[in-house]
Amino acid sequence: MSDIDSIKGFLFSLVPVTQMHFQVWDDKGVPLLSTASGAASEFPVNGCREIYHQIIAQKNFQYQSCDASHFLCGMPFKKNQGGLGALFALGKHPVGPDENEALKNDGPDQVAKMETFLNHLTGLVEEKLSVKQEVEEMTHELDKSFEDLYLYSKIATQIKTLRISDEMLQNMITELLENMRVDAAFAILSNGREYRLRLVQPAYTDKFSTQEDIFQKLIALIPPEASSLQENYFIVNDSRENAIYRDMFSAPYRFLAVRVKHQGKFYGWLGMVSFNMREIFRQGELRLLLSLAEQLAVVITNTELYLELEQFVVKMVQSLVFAIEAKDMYTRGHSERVSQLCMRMGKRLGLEEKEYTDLRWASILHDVGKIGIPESILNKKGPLTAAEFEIIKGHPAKGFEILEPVELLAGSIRGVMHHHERYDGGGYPHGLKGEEIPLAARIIAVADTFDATSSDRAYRKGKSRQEAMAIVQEVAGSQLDPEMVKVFQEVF
Amino acid sequence: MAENKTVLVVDDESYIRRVLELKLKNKGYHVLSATNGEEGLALIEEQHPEVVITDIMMPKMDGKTLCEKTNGLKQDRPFLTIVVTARINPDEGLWIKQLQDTQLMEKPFSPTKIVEAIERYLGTKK
Repeated sequence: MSDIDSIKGFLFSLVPVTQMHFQVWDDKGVPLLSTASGAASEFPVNGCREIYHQIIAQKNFQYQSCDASHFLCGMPFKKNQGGLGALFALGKHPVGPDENEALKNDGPDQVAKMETFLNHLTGLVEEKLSVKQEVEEMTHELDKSFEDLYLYSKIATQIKTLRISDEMLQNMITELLENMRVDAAFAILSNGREYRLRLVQPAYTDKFSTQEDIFQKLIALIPPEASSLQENYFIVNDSRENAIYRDMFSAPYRFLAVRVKHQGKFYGWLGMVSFNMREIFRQGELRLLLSLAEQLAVVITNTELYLELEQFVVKMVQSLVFAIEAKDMYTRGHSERVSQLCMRMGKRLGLEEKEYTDLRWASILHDVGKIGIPESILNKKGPLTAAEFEIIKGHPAKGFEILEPVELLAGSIRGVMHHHERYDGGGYPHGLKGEEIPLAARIIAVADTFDATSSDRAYRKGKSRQEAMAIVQEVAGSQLDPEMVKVFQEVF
Repeated sequence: MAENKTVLVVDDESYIRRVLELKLKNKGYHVLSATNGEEGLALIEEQHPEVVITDIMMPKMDGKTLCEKTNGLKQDRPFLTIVVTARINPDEGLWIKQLQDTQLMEKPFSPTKIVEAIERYLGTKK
């Protein structure tokens, strides 16, 4: 025991002054230190053992005379965890008035003196031990606080995104697993679509792999009446002491789960499992997990709001498309068909998600500017006058104006604006040339040309698909981007 | 692994020293401590610790100077230096990168992560 070291020097220093020797025994009757050298004769161990039991049993001072010249006495003291140890002193009988003869029987005076002396001594020992223990406990607490602080600094900043994604959840669970030093961490969430994620320390994969649904089972077993649920968590500190959770795994474990909840909306659970029974889930960890779950819930709420907004835009776009097509009887279904062709080309081109979404909106809304054109011109059976054609040519720019205020469609408006540009620069509204024309517009131009040629118009019958394709190929390089025409052929 | 391995903790704040001392002693390391770079330097030269954990901002001699002064010793007898600091300084990583077997850990640090880093180092370097 290292905590006895601090007393050692003190007792040794008392030896020459008091002419006594000392021993300290612990609460199991094991000698911890002795100021006498190894020889048993110097310190009567058997005598100690005899009075040790009396000291412990009676919890008080014991004194006895060993032989003609020595006495032995002992006093109990409280050890760290409340157990009793003993401090012994071996001394010479005081010498009486006749200097040659030691007192055979120690007077009550001598006994009382020794009792007082040992009482003070054990008091000091106890204090020293308890101070040392307190310091160690505080240091230990500090150690835990350091861990908590580190954890906060690592994890509290985890949620940076506004929208939930598999990647974000993955990162969060990984951080939990690594920094909370648990053996498994998981999230079971539902927001429209289900997010289920579990991560397990490699060393423990065998414990979890055969039981796919074990985490859901852990959650399902939470008793609804558990009082901690009012604070949105549930804990099993030791599975061996919990009838419900006892036999879930082959080894004893700890389990902590918190609700992912925000403004009364409940989305699911975050949870952790650990097989390390020497550690506990600490308050700090619980608070951190709760705050993390709350942040996650906010992100899910945001995501839902965003999805709602997106849904709204989808509805609005559908209404707009309906409005165009209601005016122009010949273009019914044109927007949808062009969009589908564009989507096929976009996939082929390997567009990124954002570009792909922008292309979708641009292609379905490319003719939205026609809303501003009189029906008489749109549905005119004969050839258009130059003035009428000028009005028709205004539709891409008009479309741009209509869509510009809608933030969610910001990425699409250039595709709408430029879908009538020509690859050779002879198109409208800006006469852009080649790569100057936005990619989305070049894609839409191909699909638009094909669909316009193959479907009926006010002034002519539609051509067959093969004929339409031939025309598209004919204008590749002049009207249309030859690269995009090639892509179109590939997905045709 | 921890047996006979000496770790020197150099920090002017006693609670940091105590926490690391307790943590490392419990893991079986022999722990020395110093309250500034000067004391640290003397202990490194006398006691040849396998690992040095040092703060940067300290009286008398700061951690950066300590690291630079002891870096030369590492050629003959490599040892790990872990620099812990609460100071925000984007350039910290730069000078640390120049030194042999030297790592940076930001405060608040995790005592467990420090022990793990030591174990990793001693595990790879016999």
